[in-house]
Amino acid sequence: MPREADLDALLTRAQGGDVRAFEALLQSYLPKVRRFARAFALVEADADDLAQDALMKVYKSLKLFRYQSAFSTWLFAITRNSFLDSAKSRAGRQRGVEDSLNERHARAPSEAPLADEELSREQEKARLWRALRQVPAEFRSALVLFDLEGHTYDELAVIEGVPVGTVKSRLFRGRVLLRKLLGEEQEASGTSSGTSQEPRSSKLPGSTS
Amino acid sequence: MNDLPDRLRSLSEDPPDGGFAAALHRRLAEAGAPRPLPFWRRLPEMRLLWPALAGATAVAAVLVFGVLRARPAARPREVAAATQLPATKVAMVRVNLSAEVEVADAHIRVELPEGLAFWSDGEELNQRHFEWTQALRAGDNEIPIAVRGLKPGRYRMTVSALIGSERVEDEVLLQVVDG
Repeated sequence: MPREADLDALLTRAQGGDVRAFEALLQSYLPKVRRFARAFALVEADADDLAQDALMKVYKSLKLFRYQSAFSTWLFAITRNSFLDSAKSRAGRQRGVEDSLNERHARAPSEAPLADEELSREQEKARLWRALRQVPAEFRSALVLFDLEGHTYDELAVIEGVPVGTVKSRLFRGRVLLRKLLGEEQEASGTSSGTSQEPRSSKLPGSTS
Repeated sequence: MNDLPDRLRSLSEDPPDGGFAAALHRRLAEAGAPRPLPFWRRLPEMRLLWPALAGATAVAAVLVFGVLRARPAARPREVAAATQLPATKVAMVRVNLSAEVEVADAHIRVELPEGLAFWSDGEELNQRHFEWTQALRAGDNEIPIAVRGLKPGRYRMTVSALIGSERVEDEVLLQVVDG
């Protein structure tokens, strides 16, 4: 992560259209943004497109950054909004799609044989991602940013534009839902279709959508 | 199941690049420079300069739009009393877009007639109108606009908002007087 003085210099250059400076700014956040996108992609293959679309919005809006929060907080606020918009636009379509993780696993033995333990770990991760994608978008966003990426309550409050109490509530409810989904998937293991859909109802109390 | 946060943390492995950075670079290079700041986002700096403008007059002309509120017709509504504005002095006109619900994209347009001018960074601007797209939150959305009267007379500043196919428009009556 660049030092503060470097960050300012990079920001100024990036705001002026220096792509290399923007890429340097982003470097340490790219893996986080890509993981974040993965939680909102219908299929694994779409995750990087989603991440790139969000990062393009960050770049185009760069002059709006006014140092009122940390750059990383602002960046995640923009990417989160982009992912939530994308989830909303898909919500009505309800198209079921094959999760390409399954395809990856199907290919895996011929590419690099996996030990039983490693295969089991990969399956557990695939199960977690699948369940996470079923959690309503606002809760999902909080779970990824807090539990997966380690942001603080205060950072999440700024990113999501809500009070800390709402952040805690979203986390609590998100975890309850995720546990339920993982439990259901465990019960149905062996019969799982491996499909992923945007949850039908992501309307939250107090939301305007 | 109490280890859920730990299980989620196990997902935080860095994905392989797989051409991601190169693809992003291509898109960034094609995109050109970041978008310039919309007019109204430059106003906070202008407000900081406000005390330095000797004799400047603050005008609080407030328009309220019932954005997305059903209206019989989107016709201009005349403000009862004209706001007085001394000629050659800069005044702040506050436009309030009051929305009943959050709006993702509202297209705002502010237009001045001859005899009034926008003012920014200590200079008179040549543009007769400004338009931009912004989100509106539910409730009040105040937009301060610095205006200068060039010669005495009564003028109408027009403000409109286009949300989807619905357009609402209102006017502020400004009276520029000697002074």
